[in-house]
Amino acid sequence: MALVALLAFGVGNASAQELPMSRGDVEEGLTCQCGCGLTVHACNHLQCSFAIPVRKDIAESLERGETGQQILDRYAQKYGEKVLSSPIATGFNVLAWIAPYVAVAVGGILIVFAIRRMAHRSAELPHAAPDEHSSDPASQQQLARLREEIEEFER
Amino acid sequence: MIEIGNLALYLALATAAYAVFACVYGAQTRRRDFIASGEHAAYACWGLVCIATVVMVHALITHDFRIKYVAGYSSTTLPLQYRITALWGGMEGSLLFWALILTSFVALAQFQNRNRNRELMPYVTATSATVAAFFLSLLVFVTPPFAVLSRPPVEGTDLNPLLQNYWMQIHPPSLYLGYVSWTIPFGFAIGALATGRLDDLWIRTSRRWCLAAWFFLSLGNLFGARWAYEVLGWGGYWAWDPVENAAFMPWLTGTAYLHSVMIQERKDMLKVWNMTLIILTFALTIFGTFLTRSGVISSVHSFTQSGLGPYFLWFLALIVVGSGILVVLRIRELRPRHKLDSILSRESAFLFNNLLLLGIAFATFWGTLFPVLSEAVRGVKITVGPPFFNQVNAPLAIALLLLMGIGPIIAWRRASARHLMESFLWPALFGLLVGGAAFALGMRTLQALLVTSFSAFVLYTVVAEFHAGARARMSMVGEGYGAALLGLMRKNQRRYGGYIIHVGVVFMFLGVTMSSVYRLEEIHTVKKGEEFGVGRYTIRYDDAASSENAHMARLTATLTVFENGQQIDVLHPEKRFYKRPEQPATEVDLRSTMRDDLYVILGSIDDKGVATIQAYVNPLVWWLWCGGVVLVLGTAVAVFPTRRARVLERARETAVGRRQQA
Repeated sequence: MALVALLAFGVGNASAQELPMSRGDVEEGLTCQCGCGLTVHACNHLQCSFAIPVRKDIAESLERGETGQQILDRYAQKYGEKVLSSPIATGFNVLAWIAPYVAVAVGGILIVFAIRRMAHRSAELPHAAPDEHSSDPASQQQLARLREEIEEFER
Repeated sequence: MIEIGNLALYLALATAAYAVFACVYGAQTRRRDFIASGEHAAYACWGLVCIATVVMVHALITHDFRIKYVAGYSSTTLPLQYRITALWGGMEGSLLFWALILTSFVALAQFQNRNRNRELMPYVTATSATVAAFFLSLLVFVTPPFAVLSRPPVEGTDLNPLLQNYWMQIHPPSLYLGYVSWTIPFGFAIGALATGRLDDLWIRTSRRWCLAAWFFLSLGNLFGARWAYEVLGWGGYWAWDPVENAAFMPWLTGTAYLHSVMIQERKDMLKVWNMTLIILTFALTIFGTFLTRSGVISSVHSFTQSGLGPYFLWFLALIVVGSGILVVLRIRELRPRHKLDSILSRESAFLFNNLLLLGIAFATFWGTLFPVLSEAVRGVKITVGPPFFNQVNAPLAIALLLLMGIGPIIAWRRASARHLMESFLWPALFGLLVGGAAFALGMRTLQALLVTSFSAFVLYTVVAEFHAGARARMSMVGEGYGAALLGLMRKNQRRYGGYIIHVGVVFMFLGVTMSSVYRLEEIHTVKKGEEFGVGRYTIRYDDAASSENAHMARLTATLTVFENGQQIDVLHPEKRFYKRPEQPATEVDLRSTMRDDLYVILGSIDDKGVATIQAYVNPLVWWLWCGGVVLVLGTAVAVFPTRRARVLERARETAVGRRQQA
């Protein structure tokens, strides 16, 4: 179910990206260069020499018909990639976007594989020969399972 | 006094180093006198750090500007409470404060265990004292807090205005308490590895420390968010700043540990995994300190750049390599005694919970360090900011929310089809119903719909668990419903405390999602008497006033707020101009309700009294803070030492003691 939710959300995000970018989205896409560490949209410095003119330019450019992506590209060309608030998903930067999902996917596959393997072995255990070192009629495995059942019952 | 402070730190370092040596030597040679001597040294170290701290606080209060730190972070006009909190306002003072908390915790852990866990304790003390010795070395050799100025100034530079706030008085201490508390469970883990006592003794003994560490780290993050919300004045509370990320990562791995440790206690499994999580969490606390103090990554939160970075990196390497070697040496003894039975089980749900928590931690780590990696590989500086973290982490967090509903009700070991149907039918239908209702009411954003639906699902499961438990208790014990609910929580504090914490986390999810997705924003330049609208509110700019004292000048706007033509509030956002150092600051004002926050910022007021005002409507943000309060309540339920819990603990210790004697 979690994977279904992830996929659904991924689809949602992808479709959201196809929509035209609003003024706020474009402002969020640029990092303020005044040293505040926030985006152009969030910078609240009085008379900020970067955020205030850039906000004005974004509004005017959108009115002129320039797309959000074109505005971002223009700023990236002028100031370098560091002005963008997130890495462009090309070349080496693709690694930034995919590595977390690859890590989670690999982790998920390993967990599923490990549980299935353990469950398979666990299912075989009741038919295994009793422990020759155990003097009890019930094996250690069975006793452990019994203890768990009691614990479960008492919960 | 300065000499006393310096001497106390030198002696504290010497006693910490001696404590490490005496405890390890005593444990290895089974010499009890050495162990006792090492533990006494740890108590002495605490006392000496207390003396150094008292000297520093006294110097801050009495304006002893001979000390460079006091001259740099306080002034004669700084109010008393901020002179005291200036202790953690700068690099040297905050390291001293860290050492104070750490040595206090070592002393407390030793006192708690003076008559028990005697096999583990020498290693716990030695590990914690090693960490203390590291911090004390920095204080003695690298950043001495009592360094003196050859020409003391008449007036100090003062504390950064952004730190002169109520939330900054409590945010750093709670964060430091959270960071430092993880040292004690880490010490117990190392003790277990060193002695080979790899049963769940170290886990049970350090459980309260883990919960306390997690609790304070949660509070630290929340207080920091509240500080950003009220003081930074950009309308938000979390900017994915590297230093914020540094505090978030150990919280995530710590949360993963608190869940997976239940499997070890119940099934004697995941021993290697739990060891790894504790080591990782502690290492991340040191990594966070490295990020804040090294200047390797630019952050609005970080201290001034210093030469501390390499020391922290070497110490981090020591922790990771040293602990890793110990785990590898004990790998055979850490093997599980039981196996998992099915993928449809609570154990699996916990494992996937761990996967997602670590996934978010990794994404945060990766995003924080990617600019450094990019510069090293491509030679190009890039920025990884909020849009990246929001986009990458949101799907993982939403999946985690769903698991919060599944984990508590799916059966241990193996869930049958019938059990799944019985347990999940109604919660799932309720979640779908609430999600459908939200859609019908106009909610169209997928993220908001998923969070609403999953939140309803989780809340249903928690309420159903409480209700079913109370009903069972009513029929078995014959209590009334209220008494049965209380009895239920007393009987299994950890489980029901955990459920309450889940409710708090659901509230936080709702607050964060709705305030991010549906935030409204308006910026207007208005003359006196003019009004503008934002969402359902109308704001009228009525007046402006200025005032001044020795510390700062203030410009205050008076704004009257209307809803449906009715006056509902008057807000007073401010612009402050601090005199030392000369720096403007924003003092936002807000009207907070359960439905939304009206949040106003005064941009500027010109000579003619024309004001620029920025106003936000942040929906449901109140629930984020409410979730924090619920989380506090849940943790209190989980850790509060009741008589029953003490009796059970004593019985367990007696049983363990008998087993050891046998």
